[in-house]
Amino acid sequence: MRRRGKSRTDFVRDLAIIGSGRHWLAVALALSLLALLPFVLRWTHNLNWLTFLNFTLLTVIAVLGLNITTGMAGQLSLGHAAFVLAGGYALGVFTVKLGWPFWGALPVATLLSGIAGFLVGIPALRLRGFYVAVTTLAFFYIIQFVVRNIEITGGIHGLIGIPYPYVGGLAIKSDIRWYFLLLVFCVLCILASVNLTRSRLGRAFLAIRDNEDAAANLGISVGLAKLRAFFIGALFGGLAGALWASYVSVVKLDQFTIWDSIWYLGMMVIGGAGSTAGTVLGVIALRLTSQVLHSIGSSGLIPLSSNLTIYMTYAIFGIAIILFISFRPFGLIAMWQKLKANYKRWPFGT
Amino acid sequence: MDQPADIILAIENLSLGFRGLKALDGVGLSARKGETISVIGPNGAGKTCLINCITGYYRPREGCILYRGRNIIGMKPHQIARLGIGRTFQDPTTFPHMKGLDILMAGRYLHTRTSLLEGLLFFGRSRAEELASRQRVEEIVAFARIEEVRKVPVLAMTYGQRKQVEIARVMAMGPGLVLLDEPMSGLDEFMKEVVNELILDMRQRNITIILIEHDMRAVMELSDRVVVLDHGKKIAEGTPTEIMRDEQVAEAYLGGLSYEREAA
Ligand SMILES: Nc1ncnc2c1ncn2[C@@H]1O[C@H](COP(=O)(O)OP(=O)(O)O)[C@@H](O)[C@H]1O
Ligand SMILES: [Mg+2]
Repeated sequence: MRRRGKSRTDFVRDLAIIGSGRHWLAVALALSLLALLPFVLRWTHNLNWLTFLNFTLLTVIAVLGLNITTGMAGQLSLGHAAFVLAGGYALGVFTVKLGWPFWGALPVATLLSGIAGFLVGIPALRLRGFYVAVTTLAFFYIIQFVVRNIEITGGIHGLIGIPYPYVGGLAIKSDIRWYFLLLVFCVLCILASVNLTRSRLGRAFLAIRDNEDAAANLGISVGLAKLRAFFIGALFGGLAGALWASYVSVVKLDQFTIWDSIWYLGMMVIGGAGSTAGTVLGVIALRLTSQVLHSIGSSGLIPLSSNLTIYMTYAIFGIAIILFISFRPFGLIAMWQKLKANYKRWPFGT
Repeated sequence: MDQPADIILAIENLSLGFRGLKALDGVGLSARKGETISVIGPNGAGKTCLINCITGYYRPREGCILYRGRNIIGMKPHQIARLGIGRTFQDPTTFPHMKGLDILMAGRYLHTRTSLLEGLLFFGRSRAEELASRQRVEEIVAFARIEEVRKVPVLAMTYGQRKQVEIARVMAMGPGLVLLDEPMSGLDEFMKEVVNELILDMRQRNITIILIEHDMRAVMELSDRVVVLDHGKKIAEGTPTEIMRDEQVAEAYLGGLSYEREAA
């Protein structure tokens, strides 16, 4: 083939997640800051924020999964919390009822949740859009019903006394140790999510999201790819649930509600559906805002009952999500990228 | 069926109906390896329906479609794609939110084998396959002159760029049979020339092409044979020069309708 235009030969660099020296520096800096954060919190007597951080890390893992199923592959899931629930309960049953060690139970619980995702995908194969969402919603209630009514999951009381993990003889018991363990898992999940976007399967997901019919002409078996999207998404969700169960040492049904599913969707949409960085950003932004509003509400700074402020928070987020879907469908991350591009052109453009 | 060995595509007596409407009515067509067959006809003649039948999107009521001697009617679109049949779509906004590079890389889907786990962990075949795909894709990017849209989503591309990317995607698939649905409609002279060269390149590489096109100059230049459809029926077939002289064709197609206006 003759070459006419400019061709690129330096694309090996494109393959790297961290492309340039400056990029490396930024990542190293961010990681060191994250590693220092708990110590800063301790010195400043703000250790209660550590709990907030740990739940944020867990939520990032869960929403990264939803971003694969819904953001990348376009299969709207309203039942993502069901996979978190499944992972949590599976870990609970394996460790408490069957006496498995944590590190044996974790991968199996995660995998089981993935398989649950795969199964939910099957009825969704013949459906599109909204109807897929209804299926996932139904699945959420089914799994909740099952967990409530069988004995091994402890019924409405749930399971207590879920063991904490040991890492190299070190008991992961305190918030600070959990922070580092969750941080490692979170970074690994981010890497996996980015890897997906530079693989054939990730691009197959994007193609299916954009145009199922045309994707088939690329040779993609659309049905199988959708099942894989549900499977991977549920794996992430299950992992988050299993870690969560061990972190709080209990599983109960009210830990995983349909509202969590909606929250996950909102975080993904506000951050930027389909983008790994956007998803992380969305989780942080929403959790941080909600925490701040919460503190204001309970501090008595404004003359409203704290219940009322909670409901107002919900209302504000509901409106924010609707506004984002209508006017900024690619979320915060797209706004940030645009800002960055404009900054590069400065002062020549806006 | 007795056919010369190098017949790649043989369509016989193909009929397709939508309730009362006969979109295709006993259409026959055959293509040898490396041939370019143009299909022309006024709007609504059934040209796109023909492509949809070959690629498994529509199920014909009657007839058979043999690709390399094998009947492909009833196969699913992705199975047909796996046999090496690629197509473009008339509306080039096929993957609205995907970026140029991602679309072409997705075009390499059938040439890669990376498993789910390898993909998630980026080990095993992933890296080598990514690089090999990218190598091929970069050649096509340069040849099709779509460097500017590597990182641009389709919705932010011009109409012409979308058409280019659509053809480049099919080239990236490396198919044996390519079906092009009006690749030049809506393009200016310069862009038509670019697309023309892309098609010529595929021709030179012995890819069999079914070309649906209204631009008669391109049809004359590119095709070995021309098939004319009207109201779902094949009304003429011959070399480009024969077709230009055919009176029935002039009547049905070149005469009354202004086909240039059709542009997108
Ligand atoms: N999915 C469909 N449902 C009903 N009618 C259709 C469908 N697809 C095509 N047709 C009809 O079939 C006829 C041929 O259409 P088409 O093949 O798209 O024409 P063209 O030659 O312009 O590509 C038209 O009358 C069109 O309205
Ligand atoms: Mg058409």
